[in-house]
Amino acid sequence: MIRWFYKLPLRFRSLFQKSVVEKELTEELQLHLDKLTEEMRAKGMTPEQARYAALRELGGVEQIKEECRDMRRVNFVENLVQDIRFGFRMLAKNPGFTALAVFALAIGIAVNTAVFTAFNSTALRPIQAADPDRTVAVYRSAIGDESGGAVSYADYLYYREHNRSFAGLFAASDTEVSLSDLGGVGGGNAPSGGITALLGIRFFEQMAGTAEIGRAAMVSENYFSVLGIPPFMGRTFAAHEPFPVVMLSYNFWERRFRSDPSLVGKTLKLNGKPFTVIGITPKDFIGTYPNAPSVWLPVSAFRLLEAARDPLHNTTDRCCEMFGRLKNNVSKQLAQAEMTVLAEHLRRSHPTGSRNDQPATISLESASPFHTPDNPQAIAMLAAFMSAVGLVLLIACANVAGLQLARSAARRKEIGMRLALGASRGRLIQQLLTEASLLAVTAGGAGLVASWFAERFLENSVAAALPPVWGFLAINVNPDIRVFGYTLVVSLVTGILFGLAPALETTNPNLTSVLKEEGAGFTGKLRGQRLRHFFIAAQVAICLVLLIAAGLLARGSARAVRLDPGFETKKILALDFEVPPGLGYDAAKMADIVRRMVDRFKAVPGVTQVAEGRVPLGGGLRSTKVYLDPSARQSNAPAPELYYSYVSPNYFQTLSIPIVRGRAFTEEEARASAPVTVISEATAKKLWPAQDPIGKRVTLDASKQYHGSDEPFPSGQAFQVIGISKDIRSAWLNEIDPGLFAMPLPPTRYIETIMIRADNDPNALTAAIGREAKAIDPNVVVYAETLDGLVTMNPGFVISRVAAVFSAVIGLLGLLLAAVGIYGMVSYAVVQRTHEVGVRIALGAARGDVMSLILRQSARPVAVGLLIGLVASVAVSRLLSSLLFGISSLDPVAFAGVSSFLMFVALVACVLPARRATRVDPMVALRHE
Amino acid sequence: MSKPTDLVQGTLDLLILKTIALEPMHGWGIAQRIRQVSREVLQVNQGALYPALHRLEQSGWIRAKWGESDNNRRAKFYSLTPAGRKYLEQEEANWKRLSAAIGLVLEMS
Repeated sequence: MIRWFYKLPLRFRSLFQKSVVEKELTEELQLHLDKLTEEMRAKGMTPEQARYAALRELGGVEQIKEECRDMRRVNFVENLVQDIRFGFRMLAKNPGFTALAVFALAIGIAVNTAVFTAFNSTALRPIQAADPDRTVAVYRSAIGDESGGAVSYADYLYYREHNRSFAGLFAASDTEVSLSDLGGVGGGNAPSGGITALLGIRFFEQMAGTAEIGRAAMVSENYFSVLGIPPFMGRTFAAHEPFPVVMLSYNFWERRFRSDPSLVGKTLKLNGKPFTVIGITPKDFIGTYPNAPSVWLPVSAFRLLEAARDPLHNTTDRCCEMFGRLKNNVSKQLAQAEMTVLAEHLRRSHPTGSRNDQPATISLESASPFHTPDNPQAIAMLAAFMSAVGLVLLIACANVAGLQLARSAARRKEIGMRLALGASRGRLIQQLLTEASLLAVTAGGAGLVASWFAERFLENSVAAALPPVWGFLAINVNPDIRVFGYTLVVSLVTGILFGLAPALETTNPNLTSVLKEEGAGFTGKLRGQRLRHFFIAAQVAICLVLLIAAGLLARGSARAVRLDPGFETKKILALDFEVPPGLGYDAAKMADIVRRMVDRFKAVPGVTQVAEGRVPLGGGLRSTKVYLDPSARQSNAPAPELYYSYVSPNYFQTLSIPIVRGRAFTEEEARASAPVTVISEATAKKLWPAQDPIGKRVTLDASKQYHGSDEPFPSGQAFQVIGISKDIRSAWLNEIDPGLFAMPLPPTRYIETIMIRADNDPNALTAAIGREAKAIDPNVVVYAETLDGLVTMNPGFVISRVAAVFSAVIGLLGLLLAAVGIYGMVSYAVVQRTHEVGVRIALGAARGDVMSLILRQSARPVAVGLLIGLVASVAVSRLLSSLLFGISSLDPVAFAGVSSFLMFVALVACVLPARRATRVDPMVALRHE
Repeated sequence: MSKPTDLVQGTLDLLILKTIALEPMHGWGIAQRIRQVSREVLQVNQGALYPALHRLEQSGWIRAKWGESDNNRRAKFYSLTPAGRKYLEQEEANWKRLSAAIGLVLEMS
């Protein structure tokens, strides 16, 4: 509109060239005044009289000026600027208050922003495609079919050829591959640092030199062209690739090959077959997968990688999910209808009775890999998270409101004066809210940065710790415009939340009471005091429970590392074999490979023993039903379930587990798979109390228990007890195995872990061991870890350590918030009682008396909170006892240490503001009246 | 002559616009002109004139330019913007309709 052409420059002039505009206004009015004076003189007045008459006629010059300023309509903006300036001055005047409030609010805002960022970078993330709005997932759903909408490759080809709705339709599947002959730089995992190192948790590391296992995305050749994603380097797949080709994900290329650009054109071996590298996908490109795979392959590569599976021709193998890009003029409904018709055509072509014979419909969904189609659980979880962090923010707000109240009580005189001088209440509230919002927005900025750093740190450490076979984490937690907007809105709402109540209270137009310094009497009965005290007590109690739990868990997990599990841990290297599914190795072949490896390893210098069997504390220990009377097996009578393990004869010697009675088995017994067993002391006590177990027979049956398909397991045979071994902790670090049978490992079977005993540091052996393993079979993936390290992977340890850190973090943040609350409460009390304190001092009270008076009254809610917290902690810690590794659930160190720490923090929060009371000058305080 | 009539709120705008429709004028001039033309019946409250001028300027109906007044003093001259001219026509028409209607009512009763 044309008027803006005149209006805008004026607004800017009024705002930014204020002095010029003011001068012009003065000049304009002066001219008028002079003219009026002239006129009056013409009527015959003296100059003096004329001037007064003119002034009378015109009215108050300053009022006119103010009215003109109002007309310029920038008053609101000017006021705001003025308020912001004033607000900054007020905040800078009380740096302690400002820092405390910003800090407390930043905690609240940071946790909210963090949760929103996580939500934003997953659920709200659009698919990475040139046209994300028209790129859709194509789900086939049939009654009673829970396969998640996948179709066979042949069906995919049918849809692709016959549909007219899509500009392109592509298929996606995935599998694991073993990568060998990679050469180049470094082995498997990058050194895991960050949070896992902080927690003291380790992950199995892949051995350098052996095959590596990776995640392979299997896609139709048109995948990248339909999505419209160009490669980072090289090219994407062409329609018919005559030779086996592979693309690497940027993330894998970066981590495994240190971004070596010469890799394109070279050859890699996947499951033992050579593939030429033709390109690198863009950084963090995940396409339709939840994270970035190691390699991208055309679906046709299934033929080479997994010959036995052959999903390309097997119409019952629903290997593929379909995705497509809609043509520009085709609606979703139309495409859905067309595809459903095609599905009906296809149904008739399938043999009756097959899974594909059901009437099916096709629906189009969001192609984003994080899309959860109307999942009420996901929504409920998000809601739960949001309300939890919302609650944290509310607590922060309440504490800062207490602080604000204390401060505005100190400003009551100032505000009362302004009201008396005619400032409108709305104007004052606007000013107080501006101050509160300033605080909140500053805190919002700090919170945003804090949550960004925290999430970056978490993401990087999780990404570094994940084994490549799980894919590469490619979640972008950098704040975008949505996150900025969210944080800003949350900050402003926060500002109003904690600022409004104090603003309303202090601008209460009940002027007289304000100027009379409302009865901050000797009674100590202050408005809202009880609620504030209750609130403080509750916070103290909750923090105490969390921190005591953290203390107990931290001490428990520290104890766990020093615990003697009953076997040698320092000198043992545990190997874990993994066979990629595509290789088609059976149990006999793997048993042969493992035996040959064991023989080769024995010859490595520095190796003293190599034993086969499940590694203690390595997980996967199986259990069996135990019958002392063989006939009880048929009667289905309840039988105890105890652990069993198949091991090589030198197992006990290798791990330094003493045989206390009888003997271990011999090589001959192992070769013959003799039905003999060595039991642990606990087993002996449980099954044959007060009897000699040696020579006794026991029937074991694990056929109805869980076990791997290629594993040896007892299936109803009777075993003769030939020895008793000392008790160890092999299933759980926190308890001695309640029962354990060791049986000789048959020659045709294998267990996927072995233990190598070194005469010195086992870590020094890994390079040589890796070389030997590769020489036997380059496609078998080998992980290595010392038994010491395995202790820190034991679930008991991990749970207690992670729980310790989490409850410590939450507890400490809570404690900081509570400290802010206590500080605010005491400050408020001090301000309100300034007069009283003045009287007391004037009447001869010592400063120390005043201090202890204030402290005594403030300490009451803290003490109540501590008491409740201690009682609750006793109840909670009993639940934790299984994670404490022998530390008492009433451990005095944790209880006393944490309580006194909390008391100390509370005391500091009390003393700092209470000191102000002792500095009250009685004359000043009394003159307040 | 009776006491000069107080200006009805809103009519001041119309008077100002009409007054400066012929030629650019400064505040004093506008006040004088309104008084003369209305044969001293309408006495502009001088204090109210300037806020009104500023409001009209801010609304984009009139614009101001500094120029020389009759005795060589710098003065702020107000003139109509094109939008202001249109607005004046509208307001004039409105006013005429209104006063005609009021006249009718007064005659009828």
